[in-house]
Amino acid sequence: MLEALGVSRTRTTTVWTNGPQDFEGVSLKALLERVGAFGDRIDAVALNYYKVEIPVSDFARWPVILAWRQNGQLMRVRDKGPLWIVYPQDDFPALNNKEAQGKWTWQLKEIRVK
Amino acid sequence: MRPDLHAARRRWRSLAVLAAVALSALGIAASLYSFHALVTRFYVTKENLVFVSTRAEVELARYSSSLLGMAAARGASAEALTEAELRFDIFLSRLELFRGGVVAEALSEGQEERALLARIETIEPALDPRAVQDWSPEGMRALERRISGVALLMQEISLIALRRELRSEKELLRVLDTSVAASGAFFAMGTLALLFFLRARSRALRNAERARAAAEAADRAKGDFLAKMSHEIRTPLNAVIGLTNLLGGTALATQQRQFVETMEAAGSQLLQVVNDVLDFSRLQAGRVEIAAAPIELRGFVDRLLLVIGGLPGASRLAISSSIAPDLPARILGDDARLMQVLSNLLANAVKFTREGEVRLDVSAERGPDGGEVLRFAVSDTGPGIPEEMRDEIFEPFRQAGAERLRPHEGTGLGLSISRGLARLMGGNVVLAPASGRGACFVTTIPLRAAATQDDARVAAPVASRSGPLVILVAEDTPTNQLVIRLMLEGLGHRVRIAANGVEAVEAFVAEACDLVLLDIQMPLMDGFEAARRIRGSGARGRAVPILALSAFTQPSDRDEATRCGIDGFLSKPVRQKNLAEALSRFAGEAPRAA
Repeated sequence: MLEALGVSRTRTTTVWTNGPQDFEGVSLKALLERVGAFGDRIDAVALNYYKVEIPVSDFARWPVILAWRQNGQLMRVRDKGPLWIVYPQDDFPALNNKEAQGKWTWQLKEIRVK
Repeated sequence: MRPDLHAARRRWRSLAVLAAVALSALGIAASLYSFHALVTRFYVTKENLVFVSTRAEVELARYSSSLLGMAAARGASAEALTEAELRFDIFLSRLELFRGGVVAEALSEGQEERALLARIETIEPALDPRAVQDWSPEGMRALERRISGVALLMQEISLIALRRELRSEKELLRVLDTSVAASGAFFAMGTLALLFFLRARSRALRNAERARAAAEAADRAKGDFLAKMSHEIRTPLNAVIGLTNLLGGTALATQQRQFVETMEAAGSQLLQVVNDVLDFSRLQAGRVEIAAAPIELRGFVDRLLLVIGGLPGASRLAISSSIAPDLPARILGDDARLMQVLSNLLANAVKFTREGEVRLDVSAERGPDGGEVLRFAVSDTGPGIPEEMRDEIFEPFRQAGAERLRPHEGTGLGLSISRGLARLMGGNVVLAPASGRGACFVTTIPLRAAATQDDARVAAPVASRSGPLVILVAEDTPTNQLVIRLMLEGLGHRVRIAANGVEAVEAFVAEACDLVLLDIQMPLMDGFEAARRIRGSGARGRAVPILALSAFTQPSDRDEATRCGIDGFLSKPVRQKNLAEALSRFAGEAPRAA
C-alpha cells in the first residue's frame, strides 16, 4: 500500500550501523499529504513505546523517508523494522547531532498527527 | 647597580611577564578547544553506552514478562507466543547496537569490553522462544534461568558503561579545571603585566619630564649666558666705538685720522661679529621673538637705503629702489628684524659689487601656499654666486669664493641669520636663478596690510624748537656717560647725567628738561620703570620725549618700552650722527653735522 505512493531512496551513514546504508521507503511529506493530515507536529511511537515529537516542517526542509528496506532487504523487527524514520544525515550536516538522531524512530508502530 | 644592567633586567622581566601572559592565554585556548571537542562528541553521538545497555536490560525484562503470560496460559498459546517473539526480536534489535555503529566502536577499545561482546554473540540461540520445544513448567524454568544469566551479563555491561561514563565526566571536569586554572593564570599575569607596564610608563613619563626640565634649564642658562655676554661685550665696545667716533671729530694729523678711522671700522666690524654670533646663537636656540607692528613701507625702504648709502664703498655704486604701486602703504611686520635681513643682503651686495648698481625692488606675489607674499629683491652687478655655491652660501660660516679669493670680512653668518629670521617671519630668503650678471637675493614674508590710520605715537606733535636742548641722560657706566656727554655737547646741547633710574626720576622732577635719554639696564631702577615714573609725574612728564638707549635685541623689550611710554629707540653703540637724527625727530631739533 505504501509503495503505491512512490519509492524514495536515501543513502546515508547512521550512528547505529557500520558504513553507508541504502534505505528505501516513502517520503514522509508525500505520505502525510496523501492521508490528508493537517497539523504542525507528529508523535512517532515505536513498538517499545519509545515516543518522539517531530515538527512536520522537518519533512519540507529535508527529504525524510519512512523506510522499510535497508540495503535491499525488508527490515525485520530485529533489524529495527518494519518501519524506520530515516533522516538524510550525510547530505545535511545540520542533522548530525543528538537532537536529530532522536527522531530516527525505528520499529515504528504509529504516527499521531497533532 | 649600573643603569644599563638595571634596564636589561627590567627588559627581561617584562619579556618574562609577556611570555607568561601569552602562555596562559594559549593554555586557555587549548583547554577550551579540547572541552569543546569533548562536548561536541557527546552531543553529536546520541547513543551512549549507558543508554544502550539499560535499554537492552529493559527489553530483556519485557521479554521475560511476556513469558509470564505463557505461564499463565499454561502452555504456548499462539497469541502469547507472538507477543514473546516480538519482545525477543526487540531485545535482539537492542543487542544489534553492540555489533555496529558508535557503541560497538566505543566497546572495541578495551579488553574487558571485547570479552563482553564475545559473550553477547552467544545469547541469541539460547533465548529464542521459537527454539523452545518444552513449554512445560520445567522447560519454562530452564528458560527463566537462561534469561537470568543474560540479565546478569547485561547488568555487567551497564556497570562497565557507567564506569566509562564516569571516566568521561572526570575527563571533562579535568579539562574544565585546566581552563579555569589557565584563565586564573591569564588574569593574574595580565594584571601583573598591566601593573608592570603602567609602572614602566609612569617611569618613562617621569624621565621625560626630568629630561625636559633639564633641557629647559640648560636652555635658560644658555639664554642667560648669551644675554650676559651681549651686555658684557657690547658695553665696553660701545665705549670704544663711541670714543673713537668722538676722537675722529677732533683736530688730528692725517696719519692719526687714518688710524682713528681704521680703529672705528675695526670696532664696527667687531661689533658686527659679536652681533652676528649672538643672533645666530639665539636663532639656533629658538630664542628670537618676532613682533608684528605696522610698518610704513616707503619710510622703511628709505631708512634702509639711508643706512646702506652710508656704508663704505656705497658711494661708487648707483643704489636705487622701487615699490610696486599696488602695495599697501603700511604693512604688518617686525620692523627691526626685516631691517636686519634686508640691510644684511644690501650690505653684502655693496660689499661684493665693485661697480654698477645695487637695487631693492619691493613687490607682491603669490606664495607657494597660495597666500600673498611681500617680495624684496636685492640685486647687484657684482661677480654673482657660482652655481655650485648656491646652496652652500646659506650654511653658517660660509662665504662665496672663500677658497679662491681673499676672504671678505665678516663671520659668514649673515645669510644664515637672514634666512633664519625670514623663516621665523613665515617667509624665506633664496637666491634667484642666475640671469646675466650679478646676484639677486629674494626675501619673502607673508603680506599683511596694516590699518591705514596713522600711529598716534609717530604722529605725536612735538614742539618744534631750536637752540640748545637740556637733555637728561640716565646711564650707569662711566665710560658711556662720558661718550654720550661728549657727543651731545658736541651737538651743542646741555647734558645732565643720572647714574640710575632713581636719580633720573629725581632729577626730572627737580628740574625741567627738553628730552630724556634712558639706558635700560641700570642698577636700582631700570629704564622701563624710570620712564613709567616720569610719565606718571605730571603734565611735564607726559609731554617730554623719552628715548631709550639700549642694545635692544628682543622685540618683547621694544613692546615693554612702548608700554612704559618710551617714544623712540637708539641702539648702542650710539653714533653722533644717529643721535642728531633722533633729536631732530623727537625734539624738533634740526640735525647738525656730527
